[in-house]
Amino acid sequence: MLRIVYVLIAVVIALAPASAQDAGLNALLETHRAKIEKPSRTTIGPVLDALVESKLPSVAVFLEKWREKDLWQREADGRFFFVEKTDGGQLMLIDVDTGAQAGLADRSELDNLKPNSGVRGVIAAALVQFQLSDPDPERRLQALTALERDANQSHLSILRTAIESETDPAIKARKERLQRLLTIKFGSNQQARVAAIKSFAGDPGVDARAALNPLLATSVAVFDSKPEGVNVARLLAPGSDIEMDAAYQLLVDEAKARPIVPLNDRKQALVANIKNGMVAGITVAQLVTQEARDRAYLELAADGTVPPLVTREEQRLAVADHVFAEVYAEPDTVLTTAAKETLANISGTVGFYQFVDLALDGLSLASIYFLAAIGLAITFGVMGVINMAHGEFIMIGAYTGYVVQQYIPNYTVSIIVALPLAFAVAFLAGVALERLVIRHLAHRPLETLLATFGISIALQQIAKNIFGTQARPLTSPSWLDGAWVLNDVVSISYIRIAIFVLSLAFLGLLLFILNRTRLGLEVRAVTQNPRMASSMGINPDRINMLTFGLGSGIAGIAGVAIGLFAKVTSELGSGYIVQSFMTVVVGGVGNIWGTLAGAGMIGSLQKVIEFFNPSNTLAAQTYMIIFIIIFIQFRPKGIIALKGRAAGTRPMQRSLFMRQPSVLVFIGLLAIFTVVMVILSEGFGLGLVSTSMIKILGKTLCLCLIAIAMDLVWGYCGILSLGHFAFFGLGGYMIGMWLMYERTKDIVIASLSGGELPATPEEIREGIGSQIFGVVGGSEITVVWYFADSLFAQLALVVLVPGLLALVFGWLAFRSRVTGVYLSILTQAMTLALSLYLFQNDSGLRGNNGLSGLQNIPGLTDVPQSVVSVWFFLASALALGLGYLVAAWVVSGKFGNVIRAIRDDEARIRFMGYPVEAYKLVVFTLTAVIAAIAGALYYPQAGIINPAEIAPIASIYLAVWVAIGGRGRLYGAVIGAATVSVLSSWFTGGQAPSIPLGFFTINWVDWWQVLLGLGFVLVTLFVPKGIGGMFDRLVRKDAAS
Amino acid sequence: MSALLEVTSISVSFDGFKAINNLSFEIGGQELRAIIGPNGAGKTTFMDIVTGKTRPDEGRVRFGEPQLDLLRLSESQIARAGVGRKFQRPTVFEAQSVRDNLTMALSNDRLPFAVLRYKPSSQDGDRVAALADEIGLSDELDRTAGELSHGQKQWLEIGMLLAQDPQLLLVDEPAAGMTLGEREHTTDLLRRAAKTRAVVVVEHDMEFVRRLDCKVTVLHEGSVLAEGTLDHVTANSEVIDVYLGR
Repeated sequence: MLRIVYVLIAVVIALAPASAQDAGLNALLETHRAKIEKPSRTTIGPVLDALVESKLPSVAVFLEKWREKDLWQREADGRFFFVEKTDGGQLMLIDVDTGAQAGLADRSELDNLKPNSGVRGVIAAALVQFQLSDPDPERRLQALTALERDANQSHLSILRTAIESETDPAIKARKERLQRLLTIKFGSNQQARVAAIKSFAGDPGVDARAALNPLLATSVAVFDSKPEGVNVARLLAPGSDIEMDAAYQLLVDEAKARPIVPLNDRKQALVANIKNGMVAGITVAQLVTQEARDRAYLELAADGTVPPLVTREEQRLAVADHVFAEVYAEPDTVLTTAAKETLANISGTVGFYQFVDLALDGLSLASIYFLAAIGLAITFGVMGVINMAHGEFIMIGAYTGYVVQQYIPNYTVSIIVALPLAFAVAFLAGVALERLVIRHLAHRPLETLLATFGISIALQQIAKNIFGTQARPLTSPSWLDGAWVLNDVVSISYIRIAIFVLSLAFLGLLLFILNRTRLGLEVRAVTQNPRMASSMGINPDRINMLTFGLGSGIAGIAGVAIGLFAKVTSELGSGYIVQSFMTVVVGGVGNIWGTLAGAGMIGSLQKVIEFFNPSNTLAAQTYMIIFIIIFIQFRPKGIIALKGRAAGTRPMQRSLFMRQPSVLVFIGLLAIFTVVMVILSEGFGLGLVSTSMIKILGKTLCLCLIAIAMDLVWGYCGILSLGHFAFFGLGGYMIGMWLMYERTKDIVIASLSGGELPATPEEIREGIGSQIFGVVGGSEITVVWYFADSLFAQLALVVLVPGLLALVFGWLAFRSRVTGVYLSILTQAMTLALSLYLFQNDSGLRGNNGLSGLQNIPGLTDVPQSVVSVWFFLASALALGLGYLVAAWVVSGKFGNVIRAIRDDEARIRFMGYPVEAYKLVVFTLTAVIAAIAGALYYPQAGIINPAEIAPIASIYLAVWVAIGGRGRLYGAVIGAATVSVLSSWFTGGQAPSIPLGFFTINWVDWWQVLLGLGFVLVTLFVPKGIGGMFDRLVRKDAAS
Repeated sequence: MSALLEVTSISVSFDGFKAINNLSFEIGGQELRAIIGPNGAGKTTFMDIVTGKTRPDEGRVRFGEPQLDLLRLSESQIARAGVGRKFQRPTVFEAQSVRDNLTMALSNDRLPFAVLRYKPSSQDGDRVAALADEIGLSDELDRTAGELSHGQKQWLEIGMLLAQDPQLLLVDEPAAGMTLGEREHTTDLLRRAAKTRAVVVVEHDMEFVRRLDCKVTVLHEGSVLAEGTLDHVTANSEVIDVYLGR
């Protein structure tokens, strides 16, 4: 009997610890039951600590389940369980400590505990220490990552133990790194912390810098004398290191000086003390200057009515009497010194890696520009053809890729199919363009430029009609996603690497074709001497065709590459055309290495500029363009130029037979037209012609005026400037500034006139500033507006600013003998740079909002628009008449002969002793001023001006009007401008009737641009002398002038 | 007497090919000189250097009294200094009348603002008439230059050259494309001109050169091969080898 008792006791004793442990977790949970049932982030801490300290093996699983909302409580006795589903619909209870089954229960008897996310976060943090030592490396890594994001002091010791038991070297290294990082902040002794700090020397990781920077946090403090025993970062000299106002304010905050009285408070004080229309003996009407107000305030202060002013001198003395310093929050100098040194070292390393990253980005950009431009370089080099539609071939390639992806869903396969298909489509398009248009314009590079421009806008519009205006996706295969990351500073996406490889492949391929194949040999022969080549049996026609096709095909492939990371829209091409031209021009025409050099230079330059202006990509493009314009002055033939006599010769321009313009006839017609319109207008007469029509006519007359200027510079002098619209716009901006300023001033004065005190000039300026610049988030009137209150000054600027720009640009360009298409490209670049500059909000001209309300003339607010518009119409007619007279005078005498001689054979007239550059400069500047005056008259009639007006395309339209009207005839220019712009607004305004074609209706709003583009091509091909030329043929007189 | 034009040891290479090789040349103020030589000898390149179209890699070019360093001047400055050139192909301004061509060539102020204010004077009109007479185009004054025959264009160009009143005339193959009678007229023109100024004529036509009856310089491979009267030069064996043939 006793033996049985002993056995039972032994069993009980043996089992007791287990059940004591059993009871252990459950008992522990029982103790904290209330807090577990209703946990909150703040109260749960002690519970978790208790659980962790108990070192019970089941705690980890318990915590995990709890965090995952898998913990249940039996309502009857409040005990906690895990559950398992059974077939019967009931739940099997699992003991939280042993994991043994503990009976069935109904769902209704149980409560599922769902702690909120805050609590779950705290639980997760507690779990960390278990997870750090978890046998599964994935889990350890997860825990480590969570810890890296958010660690505190307690984790340091946990980490230490975790490191010791770590087997995986990579994870161990990370744990050690984290330990070092935490030691910086939480280390127990100075030595350990300093060692940890110094261990990060040369480490570019962001986490290192994030750990070190807080050690160097400073705040500004004021001391009565040089501080001792305080960890001073640096002493601040008032005025240079710290602003006087800020320094004084610090003194005020520390109650070491009297507070200054803000301007507004002073004003309110004056207002409060107005008695009988006077303040302290000064009449209210006199308080219109700040100086008068100050006097009044001083009077009040002398009486003690208001707090006294603190003079500047007083402030200065107070500030000088104290010492200002930046003080470290961290008092230990050893630590801060170590941190400072290490950070300095790190920034050196970071700087190096930033350079590497920049170089990689520059290479990537260069490879993109290379791909985009190499096709152009080939066609330009071989055929001397400037293809303005090159950008559209890129677009065609991109859209081809999109279409392919619509049919082949697998991204990898679709790209593999798209590349050769894009090449083929673009190749065919190029061949078609060459056969139909370019072939017929041989040796007329400027006409080719215009005709291809027509194709370009037609293609853009067609693409827009087919694919819509929204960007279409071109998706890269998933294995190209992501990036190659060297460290926190250097990384490059795989797509860019792929494009780089692609461009290298093309470089190699082209070099091979050009240097190792028969085709390449023939192409090179035709480039250098087409006649000689053809007399040796090479067919230059076939070569031209193939070359053009090849260049276009490469553009197509570039389109696919570009489409992978950029948006595929109908405007994709126009974003790359100017860059491609510049690459070709900078690199030197006609050879691949040149294009490579050009792309490299432009790509890296753009990245460098972007680095210094990180928030402003527009600025980067602007500076780059300006740099290139200057670069061309020194190396006008590009980096790698074709040498030899052949490179210097240019084909002779086709000369135009000019009839003496009948000036009187024109002036007469203009006068009659003007008078008739005025009589018929609403403002002055019969009201048969609406005010808006008068405005349209007035604007058209201004366009005719700039067309005359364009004809003068191009038709008569041979300078195809594709940037004259920039001068037009600048003229508009100059007068717009006065209009807007004065009108805003009137409004501000009116609104301030209701105040208690009359407005001071400063207050008016402030009001104007916030009105005008509020839209771009500023309120200060910038220096550009310095003269904006003077009509006379702004009128002078209308002439001076564009004139000066033309002088400088022209001097630079003509002096380095840049002519022909090169010059046209440079003028495009100039106008692009200007419009980009104006688009920026900090240009001081309201960015893309432009200037508005220009139809309201200050001082004439009572005059109705119908009358104002008639006056402007008259002014425009007058300006047009005068402009015509001036132009006719210039071209009819010897000067006209000389500039036409320059147009026809520049070298010859130079050898006759005429300083050709001086003539070009005179004509360029004069026409720029005429254009500016036309703009100054145009924009008040339009009512608004913004940078989009000066887009490069606007200047091209100008050339087109003149080409259509007939170059070298002044009235031709007028006809062209009037016809095309009126037609344009008729078609795009929706007034033109749609043409139903049965299956398809032509809506002119969508198709006008196509018609226009094709129109240019047809006019250039078949009617090179324009409408004016047709006119001449109809009224054939004796050819003698 | 120092020479009007002094070219000393000029050399120039194009892409590795030495077009002019240590060439020296001198001509006095009223002298007629013919330059002959095979194709590629550098005759046109020589003219390019003197007129400023090409810069030599080495050497000096001095002109006039007081001496100007032509290498420092631009083409139009050199032309204004008194060097006139007639090109191989006639390069008159085809879109303008003969009168306008000649008027532009007259040695008046060339600067833009002066030209803007220019009014045709009777003096200029007389001068144009005289020149037109000299070159035989009096009846064509109001015709567009593009309508003239090839020979007439050549004369117009010579006329424009004379209108500039240069001290040194460089004439590149004036006889090309002319009939025998026209050649005689051209010879007279040039000889007359040489009485008051220096004239350098580049030609291939030996008969034309013989009629000019002046000192001859033979160029070969970028440098002077021989110099002297035509008889002297044509008897030179080297010249015969490279140029005249046996």
